[in-house]
Amino acid sequence: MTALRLWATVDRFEMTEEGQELAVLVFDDGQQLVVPRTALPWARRGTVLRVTLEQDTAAEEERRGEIERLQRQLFGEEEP
Amino acid sequence: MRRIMLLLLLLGILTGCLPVGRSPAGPASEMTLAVLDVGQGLAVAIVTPDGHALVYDAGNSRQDVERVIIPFLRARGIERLDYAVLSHPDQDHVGGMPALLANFPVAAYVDPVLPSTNRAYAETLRLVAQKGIRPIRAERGLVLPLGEQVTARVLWPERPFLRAPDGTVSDNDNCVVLLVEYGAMRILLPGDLEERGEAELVTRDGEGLHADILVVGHHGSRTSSSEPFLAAVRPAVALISVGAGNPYGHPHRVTLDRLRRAGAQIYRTDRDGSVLVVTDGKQYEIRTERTRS
Repeated sequence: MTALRLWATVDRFEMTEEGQELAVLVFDDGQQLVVPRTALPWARRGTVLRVTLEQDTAAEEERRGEIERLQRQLFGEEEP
Repeated sequence: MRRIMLLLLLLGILTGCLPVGRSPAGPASEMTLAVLDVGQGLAVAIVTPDGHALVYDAGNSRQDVERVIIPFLRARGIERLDYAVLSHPDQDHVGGMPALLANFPVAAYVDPVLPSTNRAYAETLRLVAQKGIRPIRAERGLVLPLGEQVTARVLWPERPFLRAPDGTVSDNDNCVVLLVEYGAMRILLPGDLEERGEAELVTRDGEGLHADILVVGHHGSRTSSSEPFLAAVRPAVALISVGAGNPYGHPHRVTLDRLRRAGAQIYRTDRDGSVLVVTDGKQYEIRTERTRS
């Protein structure tokens, strides 16, 4: 399995109206990902993160199965 | 004097300061179809003269629903949707659907029933079940009546689903395509349908695909709005839902060129804000949230 590696910088911290602290991660191509600051308690502004993406086939199967079950429940069986 | 008036009218149309088309008869007979500005996503709302309503896709997120879709409906006195229609379960179409179903009464939910692992889609289905919303499987030939005078016909998908060369079901090419009809007015909503799906529709419907207004497929991607499709639809007006500075470069220049060659006047939400088609079933006008400079 090939894994894609990306780098992101903790650009800044922001706070929501409700008081939740967020970390804004900026990838090298400018895309942004906002996560709760509590997920990165050791991070400071300027921390560089290596982000690895991996396929999770178990989670994929679980989600696919749940959606298929709900679709059968709501719409019935697909006609052959 | 007449020449000056015509010049002023043309200038107004070109700058977007004046509506295109002739004004409908009045509010009592007006249907409004709005391509709402939800950034790089799609949300279309239809409100009929007799107070019925349909939403086709719900943008990316809860924010799109709370800040754009629900305020639009409430401002028109709508407190309940006849239908929430999902074109296909991609995030930019389904992302706001859970918030819509959770926060606004919906009588029926229309879905193409495509394979998916999208979390917002799973949440959408859970809410349909929990709230007792009537589920409707979208298939070609289905007609959704919207009050006494307006209908939304499902032109696509058809079973068996179209498949990609690797055997997977293509969600874009099997998305729900709606043709909204009110009097003589026809408005086509092809979702994210791409060239292959468009070709299937052209084969089946040919000139019957004609629509005065086209909500351009797949945010103006070059993979949609093929020339044979546009030749069949022959739209006078093309509405593109697209986010400013999106990373995909939508709308693509080749698509804009094809639309212009087809004779369509183009409106786009990244520049015009939400774009409204107001019609009495005979005439229509286009109203934009922002005035063109």
